[in-house]
Amino acid sequence: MDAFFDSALWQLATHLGVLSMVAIGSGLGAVLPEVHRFVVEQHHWLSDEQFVAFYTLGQASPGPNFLYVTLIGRHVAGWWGALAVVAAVVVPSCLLTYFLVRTGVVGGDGRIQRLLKNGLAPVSAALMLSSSWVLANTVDKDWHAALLTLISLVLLLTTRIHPLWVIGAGAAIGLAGLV
Amino acid sequence: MVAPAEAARVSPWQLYVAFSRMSLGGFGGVFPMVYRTLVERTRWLNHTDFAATWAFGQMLPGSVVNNVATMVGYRYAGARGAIAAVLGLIMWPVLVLLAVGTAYATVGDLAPVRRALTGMSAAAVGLSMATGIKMLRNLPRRWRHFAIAACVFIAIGLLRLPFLGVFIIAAPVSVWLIWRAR
Repeated sequence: MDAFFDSALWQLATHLGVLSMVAIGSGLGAVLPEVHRFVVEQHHWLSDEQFVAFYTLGQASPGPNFLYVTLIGRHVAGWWGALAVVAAVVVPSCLLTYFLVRTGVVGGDGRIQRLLKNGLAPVSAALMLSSSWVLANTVDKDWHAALLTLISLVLLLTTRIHPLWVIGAGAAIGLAGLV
Repeated sequence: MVAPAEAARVSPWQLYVAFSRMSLGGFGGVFPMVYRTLVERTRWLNHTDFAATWAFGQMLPGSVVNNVATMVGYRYAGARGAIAAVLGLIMWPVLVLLAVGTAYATVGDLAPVRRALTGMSAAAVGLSMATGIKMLRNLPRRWRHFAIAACVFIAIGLLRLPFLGVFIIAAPVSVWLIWRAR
């Protein structure tokens, strides 16, 4: 049994499970720096390049963005690892939400919710910016890549272009050897 | 908004199908698809209900859209509805990602694939930054909010301090400061 608790699968699933329960006010995008620290810097399960590739593939695939953890789970501990990680991230928070909705704690006039939501908004924004900053430090190793990030950022802020087009254009530019 | 709805009943199967379609149609974030489906197409929620449900989803731990699926599923079909909605939301994307992961394990080391992924990643970082900047722009124009955001960004983004420790201190402090400033 000790071998199980020492296994990468167990450690990854429990760590991500705990993070998913702490990530309030912002969803799971906000805990990316911690996920990176845990799987790349602490355990060396993934290289920087693999971590970024998994994050990017998760963004470019259909479905909720947080499911990029599926790829980390698969890489670290195979198909069971993928399923365990998804379950660890999804099940506890869904059970809590279900319980709170059922008992009527969530609901009412929403005063507490508003208070928490407004109170956590600056923290959430900062966590999201931290996530992108950590990614940028890993990805933008030269000015070509940094310029591509900047162009993508400006396009997404100033136009209504669909993100998938921007990521697709990035793939084409990369394939052409420009970054 | 949270009790099972009095009027319309929606079957768990309908919930499963609707959330499957939302998740498979949602590239780079499912929010627009969820809004379109729940408010404009099925009309299971009106705009106000949707905004409230989304706000609750943000406040609770875990993925926002998962929490929304749980709440909407429960509202229309109880526990079975909640399970159906969440399964619909995650099952197909997970299958797609398992296939993507297998493909990456096979060809991820090839030079053209690595080049394409580098370009994709650089663009995806821009997407992530744009989300953060939009969140920042939505904050009230008060120095207090931006001071809190700056402290958290310095702690997590620049100094890379441990997330749990920073969050456990920053979250209550932020809520308290902003509550006091009303």
